[in-house]
Amino acid sequence: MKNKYLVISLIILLAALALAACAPQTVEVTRVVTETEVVTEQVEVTRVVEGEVVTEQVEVTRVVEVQPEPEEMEPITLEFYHWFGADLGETTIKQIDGLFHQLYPNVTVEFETADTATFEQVINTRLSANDAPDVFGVFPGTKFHPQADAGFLMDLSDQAWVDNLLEGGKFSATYNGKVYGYPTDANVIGVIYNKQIFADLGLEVPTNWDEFLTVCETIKASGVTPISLGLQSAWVTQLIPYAMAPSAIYRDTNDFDAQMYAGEATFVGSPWQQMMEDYLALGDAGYFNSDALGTDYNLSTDLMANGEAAMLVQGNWALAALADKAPDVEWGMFPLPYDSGGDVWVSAAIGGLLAISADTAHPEAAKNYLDFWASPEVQEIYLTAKKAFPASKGVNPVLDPAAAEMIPYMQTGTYPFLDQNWPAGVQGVMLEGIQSVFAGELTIEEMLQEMDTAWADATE
Amino acid sequence: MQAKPPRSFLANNARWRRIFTDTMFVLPAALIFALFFAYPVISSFYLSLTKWDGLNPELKFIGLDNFVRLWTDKHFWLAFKNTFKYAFLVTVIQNALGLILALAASNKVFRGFRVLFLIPPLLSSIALGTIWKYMYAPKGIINSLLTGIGLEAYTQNWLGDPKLALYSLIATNVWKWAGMAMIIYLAGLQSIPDVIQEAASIDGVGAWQRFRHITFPLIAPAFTINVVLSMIGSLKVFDIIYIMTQGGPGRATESLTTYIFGRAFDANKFGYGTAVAVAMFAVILVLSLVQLRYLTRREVQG
Repeated sequence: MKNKYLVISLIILLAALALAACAPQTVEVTRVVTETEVVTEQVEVTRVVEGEVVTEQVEVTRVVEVQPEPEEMEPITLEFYHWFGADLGETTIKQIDGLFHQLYPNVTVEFETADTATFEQVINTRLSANDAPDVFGVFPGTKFHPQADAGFLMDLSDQAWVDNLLEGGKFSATYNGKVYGYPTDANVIGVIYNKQIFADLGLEVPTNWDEFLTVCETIKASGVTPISLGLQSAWVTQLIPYAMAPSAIYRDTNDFDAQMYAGEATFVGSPWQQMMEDYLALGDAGYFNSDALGTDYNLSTDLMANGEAAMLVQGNWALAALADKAPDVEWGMFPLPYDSGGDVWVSAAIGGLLAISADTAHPEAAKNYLDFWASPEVQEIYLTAKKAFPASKGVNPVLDPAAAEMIPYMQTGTYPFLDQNWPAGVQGVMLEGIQSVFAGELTIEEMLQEMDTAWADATE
Repeated sequence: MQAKPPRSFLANNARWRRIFTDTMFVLPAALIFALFFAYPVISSFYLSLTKWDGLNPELKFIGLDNFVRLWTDKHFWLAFKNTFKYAFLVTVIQNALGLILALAASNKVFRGFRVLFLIPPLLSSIALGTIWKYMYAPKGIINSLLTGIGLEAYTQNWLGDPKLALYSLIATNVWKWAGMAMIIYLAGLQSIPDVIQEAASIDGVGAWQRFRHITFPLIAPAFTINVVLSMIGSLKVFDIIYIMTQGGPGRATESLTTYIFGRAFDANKFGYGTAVAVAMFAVILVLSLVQLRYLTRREVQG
């Protein structure tokens, strides 16, 4: 209880930041009705009579609870809170929930959604106020670890779908040997390109960094912006390093993060230095739109849609926005070929996990709901709508043709988005750092030092 | 008429009933105040002395460590500097503009403009921030206008240039709130009796002299309230910055509030974030008290 008021108080103190105060409240009026039956049975009783142990048969009548038949069950409402309605639209989720209701007529799923930033604050506030939804989204990797540590998440290791997960999905959902969520989808970062512009200039998909730079140069010479970049949206700044790091760091040093946690490695003196130099060099060579710092994600997709720019380093989710803005343009996608003298690994990560509250009133219904999500039919509905990749085996969604082009590259090797395995707070410092470096306010060394400080700060 | 009970009882009874009635009137507001203001403020003083991730049921008491750390935190001081620069410039420009608008709007010809200037304060900061963000975009309406009238050399990366971003935000803030300042000044202007102005003009006092020696001293209360309100408001600014730049590029527009938000919700350092909030509370309190004291002293007794 004490905690509840602490949380409330914190929200009020940061009154200007009142975003978190709009937690959706659902009042449940669900009763689980059990029937009773009177049973009479013979029981052997041992007791001491006048100093002697006597065993005798006694007839006992007791009241036993009987599970009612499913069709007689009172309705259950599952509260489901997730951020994915914001980009997916609620129609797909409503469709899935409708199908679930047909299968379990007594269970109604009540879906609420918010954008990711709001969602993150609201869910943490609700969890610490013991007001958790029955089923909710959690972010893959380290972000859910504090929630698991605090005992808010149900251990799902024994669920049937666990064995069917792809390695990357299982990795992102596991903490201390236990699986805490069902990974719904995977996303990749790559270079989205305008096929018409490539064809007009006679360009081929580049397979290494030198070829990529040549492609940029050719596009620039034709008067088109080679790469559209929206640095004003802080999260966009990280995509190029995220696309570089799998090949530059993790292909050869897969335990780099473990070394960081152990204090054996730092960002300073790591391949990050070279990655950032190459990132900046693209700007110096004039391959980005010149006003990238004043361009946000939305405007960066506009530049692609109206043909002012030829390439965009983004996640596959941007394909949905591009298809919306320019339905007639044919898009393709390839991994950023930052080869670092070897195979190109793809930046691919689980988009989200579905978790069950540890103290839900309806554990069985919630588990059934996750099972339902794990069925190939539902997965395909969801992934086709989201234009995202599966995290389980045997699921074949209809992928966007551009997104599908990434699949063969993903066989070579993948590594998750970096912050998924980082402690909280490092990513924010990196995002501000990259903007500052591009603005000329910070050197690359200073930025990497700040990231090291943030890491030490978070893990102390 | 009813039979009178003993006198002292009546007196007591009436007094107690009065107190009871008063209490019942005050109680709802007092409870809400205690629950949603007093308690959070007091508990945040406690939170600022702890190390807490915002989730874990256990708070770790660490004394004044957060404040010691704050003292040497260069990002905090950068946010502090940005916040004060922002508040100072907004206060000065907003009041100057508000006063000019009020003087103009008190003229019969421009009376109709009052409503227009009152629209921006009524708009939601979220909507307005988003609109301004796109107006400031590299190919947004502001740069297009400049190019259109042949001033292409003056086009800027308004929000993308770290040297300019804070001033762009200040302009948006002033645009939004100048109308509010105008209304308060207008109320002050209307409280000045026409006879004083008339008498002065008959005596041959010029317009500037009339403003300097009659109007301005007499609207001093409006000046006080406007300066204090705009300063407190802009020290606490969050929405406009969060929507338009999120403190960027880099930390160029990081304010105390966005810093608190980042510490608490991004880095999960709720204890430290609260410590920053407490420091900010102390600074604003001291500043407002000093300002009120100084400004009310120069108000003319009507």
